[in-house]
Amino acid sequence: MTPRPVPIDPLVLKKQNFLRIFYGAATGSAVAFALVQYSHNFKREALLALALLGSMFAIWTLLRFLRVIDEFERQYTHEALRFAFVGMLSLLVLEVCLESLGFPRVPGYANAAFAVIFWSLGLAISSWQRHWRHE
Amino acid sequence: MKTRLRVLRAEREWTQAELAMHAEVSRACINAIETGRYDPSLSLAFKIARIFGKNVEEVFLYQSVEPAISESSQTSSE
Repeated sequence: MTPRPVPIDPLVLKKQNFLRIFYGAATGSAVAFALVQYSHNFKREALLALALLGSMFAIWTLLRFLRVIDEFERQYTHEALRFAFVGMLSLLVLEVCLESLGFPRVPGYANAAFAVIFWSLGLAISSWQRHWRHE
Repeated sequence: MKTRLRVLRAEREWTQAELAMHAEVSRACINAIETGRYDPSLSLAFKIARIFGKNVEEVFLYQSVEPAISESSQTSSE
């Protein structure tokens, strides 16, 4: 007996695409922001515009992703957002402390990248916890 | 919360993915409900029950960890 083919849920594809686009746009804008520091004249302004557009697009995609997920996935993302918020708050406090001790200032775009990293880490942790807690 | 979701699904020979598509949620959500890892919201519980043409209490059974209110009020009045 051959197994029944699993139907491809368009909602799943949509969510996966939103996530891919989000990470792509976020990475692209982070790279563009980093390059702005080393470029001059018109290149700098063009890169800055590109980075801003990229980050706005990433935020829009994230909001679209949060709108299409179901209530179960919303729990995961809520836990991940909580993790990211607490993580970012702790990181900012640490940055302020280090800055006042004379360490160099961390650029704003790096903090945005840290927020994305914390959120991704939060998603992985909450998914891992849920999986192993009920094994 | 206990659920008869797996039985009802088997009666219709539906996979978790097929039920998920009907309920407009992820397959992981249906799996979590079936295995008791997640209690659905009221609206999702009603939606799933309606898909099977049942009342919500025929699909989901709430298991209270504390004694029912009527029992405790009876005890206190005695």
